[in-house]
Amino acid sequence: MEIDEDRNNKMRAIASELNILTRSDGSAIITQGGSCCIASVNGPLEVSPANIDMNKAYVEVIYRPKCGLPGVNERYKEKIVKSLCETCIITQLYPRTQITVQAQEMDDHGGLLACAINAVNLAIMNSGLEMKFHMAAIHCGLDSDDNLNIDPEYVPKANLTFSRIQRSSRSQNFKGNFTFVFDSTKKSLIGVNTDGKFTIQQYNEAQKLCKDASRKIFDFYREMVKKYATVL
Amino acid sequence: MAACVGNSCIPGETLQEERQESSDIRKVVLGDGLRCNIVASSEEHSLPVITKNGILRRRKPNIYYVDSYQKRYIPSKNDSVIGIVTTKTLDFFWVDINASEPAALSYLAFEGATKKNRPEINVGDLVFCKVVLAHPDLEPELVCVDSTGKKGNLGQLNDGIMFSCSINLVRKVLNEKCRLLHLLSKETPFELVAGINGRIWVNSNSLRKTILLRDTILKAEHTPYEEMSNIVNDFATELTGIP
Repeated sequence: MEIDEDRNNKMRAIASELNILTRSDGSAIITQGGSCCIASVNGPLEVSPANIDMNKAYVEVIYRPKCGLPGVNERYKEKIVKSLCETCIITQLYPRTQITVQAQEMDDHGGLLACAINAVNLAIMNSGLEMKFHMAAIHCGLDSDDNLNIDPEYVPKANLTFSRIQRSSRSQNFKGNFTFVFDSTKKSLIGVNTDGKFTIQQYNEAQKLCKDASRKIFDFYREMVKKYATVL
Repeated sequence: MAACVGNSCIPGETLQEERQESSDIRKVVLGDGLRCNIVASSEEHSLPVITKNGILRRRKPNIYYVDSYQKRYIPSKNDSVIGIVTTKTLDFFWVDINASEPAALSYLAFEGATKKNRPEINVGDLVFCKVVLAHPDLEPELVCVDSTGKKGNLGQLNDGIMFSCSINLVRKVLNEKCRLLHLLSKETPFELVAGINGRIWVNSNSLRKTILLRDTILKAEHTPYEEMSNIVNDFATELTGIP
């Protein structure tokens, strides 16, 4: 399943496949340009007594980097994805259980957080857990000339060695970075993550651009549902 | 946005069409993947909202449900399931039924069982049973007898092999439209038990044949109903090599 690059919207090509892991309850791989992420969802599972919640499911998110051990940045991403998962899954339907979500970074060419959120959404979709809505995440970069770039591809600088690219954040050729997450019903903002320097006008402008671009991701989700429903 | 029967639907869409179509019939039954009042503070709160991804289906007169892909089993009353006995306690067998927690199966829920006369079931055995209690706040409860105390088709499964698959495949195999089992039974005699919790048990007179049956059933998952005869033909040609 693929959507070609659209010149007007300047979003990178998206490709995805569901159910790629045989043993998890729901799984998906998604590539957005050069960025790639695999997500897997298991649940409802038996929950450990420490995390048990009598009213709703406990959601656990594990984010794994491509290499090395997960650190503070990964924990931060886990926290973002966890709160989004708790919003979009109807956790009240699965009391005294646990839902485990895993996101594995495969390749980072910018906008990886958005890519991971979209992968998690597709994996939840595949697992058959009941959801309130779909979520679509879009990355936007503010370059040094104050231009907003929707879903930009990271282009490594020629003088950087491989190990330095590995260590440096893939979004560093922008002075400001935004990741917006929208829901599919009202297209309202359900999550935002920013870093760098920008003005409030630039923030509002970026949000508006991302909201328009989110339609493309929702269309993509719908196509995926349609495609995978043919064998039911 | 409103979802239409027979089309793909995504969570958050509303079910609207029954209003015009069946204004004379007031009662609508909501099945899997449809819920009322999940989102408060909305002007459309009285309309059912879709909560799963798949195809919206309607069964006459007014039953609506979403056909979606699922691997994990969520217990529901009267389902026939295949379980694996994991623990034995004083009064219960604890059975793994692919749900979030083990289900309880009483020693007395077998045909002819009394306090003195306990069924001979060990840890690791397969049992085909019915769910009698399924509530999200309680652990599921199973029985191996029907309401008259007879065992019918339920009980322990001996020999054969059990394999896991998606719940959709079990539904597909049990569907009247699917002629797979009918066609397979013409080729060779075999026994099959389908548990709606995503487990299928098959047995025949030779192990190689049983394994071949398993592979054919797993192949059916992504085969449309019309093309079932093709995979059965493949099965028949493979079968000729087996004594």
